[in-house]
Amino acid sequence: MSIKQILDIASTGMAAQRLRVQLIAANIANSETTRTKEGGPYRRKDAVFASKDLGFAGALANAGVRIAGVKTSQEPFLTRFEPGHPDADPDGVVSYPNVNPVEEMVNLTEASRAYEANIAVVRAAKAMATSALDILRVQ
Amino acid sequence: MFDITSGNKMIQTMDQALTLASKRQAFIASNLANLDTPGYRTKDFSFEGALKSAVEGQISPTSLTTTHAMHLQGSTSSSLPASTDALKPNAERNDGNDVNLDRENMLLSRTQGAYQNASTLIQVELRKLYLLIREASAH
Repeated sequence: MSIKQILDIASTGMAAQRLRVQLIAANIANSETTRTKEGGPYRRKDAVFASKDLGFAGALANAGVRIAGVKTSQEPFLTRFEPGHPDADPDGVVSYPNVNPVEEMVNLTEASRAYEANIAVVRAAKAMATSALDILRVQ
Repeated sequence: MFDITSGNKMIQTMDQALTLASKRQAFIASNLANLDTPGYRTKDFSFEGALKSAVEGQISPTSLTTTHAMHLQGSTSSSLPASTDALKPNAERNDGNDVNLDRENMLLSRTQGAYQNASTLIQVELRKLYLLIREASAH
């Protein structure tokens, strides 16, 4: 039944984009965090997408999407001169997370648009199922 | 006794159209779910071409062997055309992904429209049959 396939595919897309938004939320929340469990300031996290086999035959074999992994950014930290800060180095320089709020906002918009696109697919599939059921209503 | 619906060309053709439209919707769902998957290529097939070959296949079907006059012929299930050729004009992004959000959104609503058209046409045919039966039984 292809309507179910459509919903399965769209739900993998929604789950992947939602996890991406979660990571963006973590990045924005930790944009000033200078202490982490691993030591040092927080590092920006990003989702890596990969197509996923949902067991459908033929050309739809790799139709879904999954998060292949979470990439921790190795870009250099932002530095600010704050001699009074408890985490400042001997020169009075504090390393702040390599989170760029503008970049995060752009990614957030992109993720929410992609999520909406998957919602539109679900809505279309629902309308199609309804119109197929309407065939039964002959009178 | 003959099968009142499978003898009807309109219902048969629209049946194929419904199947193909929902299959195409699954491809569109896959494209939208993989909007951010690096290296993903847009999957699609020609709806018109697939419907045409399905209808042509119907005229000379690879018929089932019937050993009795009462056996149903069984409709030939149209197998999905496997071609998922890359779309030529699509500009590929830096990550090797060539999904175009606007194109997929447009196809999403167009395919939904095609599905609803087909289901309405089936309904109209069935309503005709219903009216015919009602008229006949009234006398």
